[in-house]
Amino acid sequence: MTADARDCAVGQLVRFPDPQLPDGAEELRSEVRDFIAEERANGTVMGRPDSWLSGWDRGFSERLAARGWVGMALPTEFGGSGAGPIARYVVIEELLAAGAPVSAHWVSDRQAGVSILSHGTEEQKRAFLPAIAAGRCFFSIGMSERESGSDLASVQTRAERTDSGWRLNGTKMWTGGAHVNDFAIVLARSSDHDDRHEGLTQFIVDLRAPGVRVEPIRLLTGEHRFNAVHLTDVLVPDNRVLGIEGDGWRQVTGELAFERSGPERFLSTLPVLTSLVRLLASVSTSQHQQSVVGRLVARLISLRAMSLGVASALQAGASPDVQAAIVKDLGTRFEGDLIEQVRVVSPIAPNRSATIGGHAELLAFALLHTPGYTLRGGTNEILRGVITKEVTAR
Amino acid sequence: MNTTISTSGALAGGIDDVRHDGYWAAETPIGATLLVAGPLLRAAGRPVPDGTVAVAVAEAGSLVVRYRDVDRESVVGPAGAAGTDTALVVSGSIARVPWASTAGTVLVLTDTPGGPVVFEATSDVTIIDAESDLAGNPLATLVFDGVSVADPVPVRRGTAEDVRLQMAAVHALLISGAAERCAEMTVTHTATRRQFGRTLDHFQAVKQNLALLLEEVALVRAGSSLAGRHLVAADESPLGAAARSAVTAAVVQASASAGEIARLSHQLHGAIGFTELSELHRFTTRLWAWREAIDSADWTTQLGSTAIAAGAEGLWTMITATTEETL
Ligand SMILES: Cc1cc2nc3c(=O)[nH]c(=O)nc-3n(C[C@H](O)[C@H](O)[C@H](O)COP(=O)(O)OP(=O)(O)OC[C@H]3O[C@@H](n4cnc5c(N)ncnc54)[C@H](O)[C@@H]3O)c2cc1C
Repeated sequence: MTADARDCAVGQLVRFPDPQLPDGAEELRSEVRDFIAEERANGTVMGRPDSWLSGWDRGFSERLAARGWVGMALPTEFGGSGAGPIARYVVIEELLAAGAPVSAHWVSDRQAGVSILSHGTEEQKRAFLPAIAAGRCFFSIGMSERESGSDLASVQTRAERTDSGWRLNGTKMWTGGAHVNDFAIVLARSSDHDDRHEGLTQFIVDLRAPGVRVEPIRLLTGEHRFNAVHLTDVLVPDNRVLGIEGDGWRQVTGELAFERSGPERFLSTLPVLTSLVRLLASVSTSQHQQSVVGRLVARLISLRAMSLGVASALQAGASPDVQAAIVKDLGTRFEGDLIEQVRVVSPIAPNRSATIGGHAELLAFALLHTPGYTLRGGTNEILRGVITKEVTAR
Repeated sequence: MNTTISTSGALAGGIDDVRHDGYWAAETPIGATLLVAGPLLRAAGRPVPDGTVAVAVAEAGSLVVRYRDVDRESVVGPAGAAGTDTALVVSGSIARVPWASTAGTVLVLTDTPGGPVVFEATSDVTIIDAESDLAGNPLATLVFDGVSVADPVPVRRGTAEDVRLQMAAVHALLISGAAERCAEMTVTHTATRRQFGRTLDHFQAVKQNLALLLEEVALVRAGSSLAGRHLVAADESPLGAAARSAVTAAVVQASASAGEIARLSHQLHGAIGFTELSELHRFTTRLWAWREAIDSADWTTQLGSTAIAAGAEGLWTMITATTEETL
């Protein structure tokens, strides 16, 4: 790369597209706000941090879907609303900011649906997409294993051909929601190659099929959110291969921009800042408290502009994977930073056993979730490798 | 209803020009000319002079301003005070005005008994070119020793507040431009400098720092671009609440990131960046200088207290309004 080419590459990385909200975004936002207010009054939206990991409520997902707000990235022919990425963005950022319990449908809505839409057969689309959009069919992601985290291409789960399909053996780790969801998209090795990125295949595995055993793994808080999923001679019929056999790696990495740039990469802990502001609004505040809040809000506004810029590019059909990685590294560090900063100026200390929903409890809860923000979906160190690949020697 | 912020017209180009000014470490008050003096004079119905314009805002108490020709016979004069003439006599000084010593025109914004006005500094104003900023660029002190101002132009109340914020936004855009240049120089340096038999950018630790640098530059750029779109949309009208939040956020973020960007650029350049052998210092010293010009503590607490005043119900709305206000 010449110096000029490098300059150009730097320019492309740091210049994000301008955020473009479509006509009707404001109206949509206010409809979502009304819906949330109603749910809040019924006690189902409780302003909890990290609600896309922890806030599991099937009923909420179904009511949201009834409004057309699940499967917004799916076309109407498959039960979606066809509204597209930016309209979806508006809805999900409202939900996350409010700390709504969205984790039941989160993965189906963000990933599984989109993945089936782009790689699935017609039969798979008809079988899964309408149910996903209705908030009645929930997916887990079965990628990681004990020995395959950052180095995902090293997965050991094997898929062997049978007469009518495939037989899967192996153990998937950290599988969010496997104990409550319906299906998992499992990445497994289906043939051996010198290039480890070849010979991987994605399978749609019924989590209630014989041979699937889900074993809880508890978080630091003691919550049961993810699992080890043991697959012992699990039979997967041919019509549940997702996409092309052996093409799993390309499929998995092809949609990273969707997974990495969304508002869930910087809004997970916003409810804690909201809670702090609730406390501070009624008392006289110090300059230090004001400036901590000011710095956090400034970063949030700038980050959101970046994330919305990526969403605008996605809407326009681009795939800004590297810019999405930038948003994810900055955003997930912000999530943890927010907790640390709020902690310093909070009039109340974190307390796990305080009243649920009170500032002390929220702060403790978010703090104990902190290590996860910069791990899930690919660690920040790995993301930085993705970012610098664009401008450095390979 | 169109909820998109649109950039159009001459000012939009002005935003890019100011950023380029930072990118090239150019030595003119082009930002103050395009983004502050232009809208200010257009709003006042006055022509914008050719050439560069420096803008000096008098802090409360720094100038003593009175009417020159008080006519005791008249009731209420044109500026809303006793007098038939609006001519002023100005004494006092305004310190640390960037580029006032070299600009074609120096515009002064001050309060008078009849409200805020702007006027052009004439040769009667002594401009002392005594100080410089951290990058070595001139900061002049304007001294008014009973200076007569014949034709001050009245401007709306709150103008000084907007102008201060616009000036800070200019510095945020300058920081964004210089930051981008720092990132480019650093990427090129780490691609060419060899240690341990390989170029620096082969090393994992170097990659990690490079990524952090690029990210911080992108963050400043995104924030200041959003702010720029609001400035363009407002042009000569006052900045609305959402625009103020967006612009203040950009200013706070640029100020917060400037030090980190300079730190990482220097670290990755090693000793050579710490000397005049490398051009890097032209940009990092400007990052430090422009951070000072932003006067950030003030903006940070302002943004924070606005957010706190918005309360738990209004905080999120305040944030979304920065991209949603119909402009
Ligand atoms: C809350 C949460 C939910 C999750 N949900 C799911 C899920 O639903 N489904 C699923 O499949 N997975 C899930 N994961 C797993 C997640 O994707 C992995 O944790 C992640 O990919 C990192 O892998 P690892 O934990 O094995 O760490 P490792 O890969 O062992 O990394 C350990 C450390 O070494 C660093 N490191 C490793 N390699 C490099 C390198 N080449 N260069 C620089 N640094 C390196 C890492 O950055 C990290 O800091 C979840 C994780 C969390 C925390």
